[in-house]
Amino acid sequence: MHDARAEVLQWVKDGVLPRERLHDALHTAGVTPSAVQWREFLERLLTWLGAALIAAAAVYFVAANWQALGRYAKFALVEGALVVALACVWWRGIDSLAGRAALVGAAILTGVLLALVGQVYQTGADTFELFALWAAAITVWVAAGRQPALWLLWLALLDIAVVFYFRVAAVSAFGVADFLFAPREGLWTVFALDVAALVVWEWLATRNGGWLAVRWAPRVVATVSGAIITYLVLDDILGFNHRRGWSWLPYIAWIAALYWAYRLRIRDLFVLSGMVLSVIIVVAFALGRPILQHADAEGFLIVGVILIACAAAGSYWLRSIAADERSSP
Amino acid sequence: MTLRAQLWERLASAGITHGPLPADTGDRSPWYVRAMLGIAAWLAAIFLLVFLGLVLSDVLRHATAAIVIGAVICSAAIVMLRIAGANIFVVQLAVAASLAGQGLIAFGLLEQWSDWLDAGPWIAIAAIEIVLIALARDYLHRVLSTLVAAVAVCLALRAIGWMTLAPALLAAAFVATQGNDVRSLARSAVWSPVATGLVLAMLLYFPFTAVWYESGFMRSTQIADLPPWLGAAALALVFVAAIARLLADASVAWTSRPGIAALLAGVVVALVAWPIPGIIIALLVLLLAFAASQRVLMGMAILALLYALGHYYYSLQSPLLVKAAALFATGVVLMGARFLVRLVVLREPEAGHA
Repeated sequence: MHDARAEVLQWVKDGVLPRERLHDALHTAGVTPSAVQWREFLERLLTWLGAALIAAAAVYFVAANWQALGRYAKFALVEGALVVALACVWWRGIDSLAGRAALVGAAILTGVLLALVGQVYQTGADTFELFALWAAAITVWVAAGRQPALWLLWLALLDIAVVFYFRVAAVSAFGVADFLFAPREGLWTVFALDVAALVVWEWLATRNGGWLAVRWAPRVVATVSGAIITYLVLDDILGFNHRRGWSWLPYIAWIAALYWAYRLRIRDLFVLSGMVLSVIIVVAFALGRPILQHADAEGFLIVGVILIACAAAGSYWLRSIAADERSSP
Repeated sequence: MTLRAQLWERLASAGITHGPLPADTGDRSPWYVRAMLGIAAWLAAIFLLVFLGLVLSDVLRHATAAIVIGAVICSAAIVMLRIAGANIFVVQLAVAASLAGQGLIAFGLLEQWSDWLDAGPWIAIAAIEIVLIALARDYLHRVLSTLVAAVAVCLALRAIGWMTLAPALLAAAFVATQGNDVRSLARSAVWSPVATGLVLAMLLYFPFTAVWYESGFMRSTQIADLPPWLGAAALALVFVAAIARLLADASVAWTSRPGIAALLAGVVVALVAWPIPGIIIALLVLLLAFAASQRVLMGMAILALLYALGHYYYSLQSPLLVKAAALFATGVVLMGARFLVRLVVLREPEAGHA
């Protein structure tokens, strides 16, 4: 990733760019935004933020369950907002800024409408059914919208549905950590789901590019997947569950797969940094647990120094990749 | 041709730079590598701190001893950072050791005062962190010191019942770091990590205060708190001042049509969104970060925005119906501001950056 601002400031520091020309340099480098860039940014910011706040207002409104308003009035309000959002998509076009914001708003309002149905008619449906139905209901819009944010919303709904499903189905298996977070089976399923989504995303992005070529969306999915499997390994190390041990195997496979995919195939320093951090945390807990049991002072020092060495080695490796990136055209 | 070479050539063709492309100097690791190092340093510091606690358990019974030993460790870390150069292991060791040293100093100060709810130890901790920001020449160290200083200032404000002013104070400090004059920009090695630390502090402020209130820690002072509207008013003032500052940086007169429109929009947004301070802070960071092309801070502001929306749902200050109305009104005002932007900028395309 190239940071023109940092580059220009470094040149000033090194004395190769005169201080008095700094403002000119920042303008020429495109660091200081032009009037047109300001207008585009403000329009995008205000549109997205305005849409997000109005959609959030609808969520809050339904959650408030205002008794003074009859059920039909409530439905009319939410459905009316949904129709307005869809009309905006149709009017401004699905690829326009307003159209994209309106489509995300419509996707959120669909969930609000489903929640309202459950609230008014007391359907008795489980929470996971609401999220699963919500994901199913917006699938066509998500496919048509071709927006990374919408796909992430869809995946998040599926993940939440899975977690709630396992909470309901595996109540009897709850341990301490399971009670706080989610049953291990649920987390493994979410992990598998997210990894599958990541693989499909990267494969399609390599083949087709276009809107799939954005890096932030696969990075979010990779971060969530990495956080889940790191938590599961830590759960094993700390011994919160009694069937511990086997999560090491998928964890090592996950790390190897990340290295292959993001070092050898696609170069993504963000994912590799997350991978290094995960390894450092796992090493810290794996080494720290037996030391904690013995409360051995020297042990703490050794683990501390090992962690520093791991971080330094990881940083050296990542910086050399970053330097390669900077010097490649 | 690399992006760096392209940039140099563009500046050279504009007559700003001369000669061949200089050698690549300085540490410009991406933010996520620095974040990884920061978390690893915290983790290592915990182990080092426990080691020191066990080895020096007898000495550390005295608060003064803890402060002196902590100060010695921090001083050694500063020296290490000054002579380490590009040695990553030494830098990481120095950062972790300094964090452990700061932990000892904080422990000693809090023990000395014997009351964690006093402002005194927190002010002392904040002052020490500011000294460390000035002396320890490392990006990551400066980010972490700023974060600790900001937390200490917030706790000092809580102790005197001024907690409501904390978001406005952090936001004002952030605005101050975004100086656009040549001198401030040339000292970005200091201001850039400080700005990142302040945004991190603002990002963490609402989740942490929520946890503190839940745990009862925040309610334990006997001093009467300032009324919340004062904090909201101070934050609104900082927000509008930040917009005025952006206009001045872009050479747009406050009395021009775009200037008046921008200031007016700022006042209206601050007024409507006052029950949701997280949104005002996120907007402020987004605007200033965009002006300086600091994408990482923009990303952090978006996270703060999402959190503010979620957190507002659970805050107990008003009923859900009132919250829904506040969100709806703010959303409508922002949409209205969007049309204002189109109207004003389309009419006066030559009118600068507002």
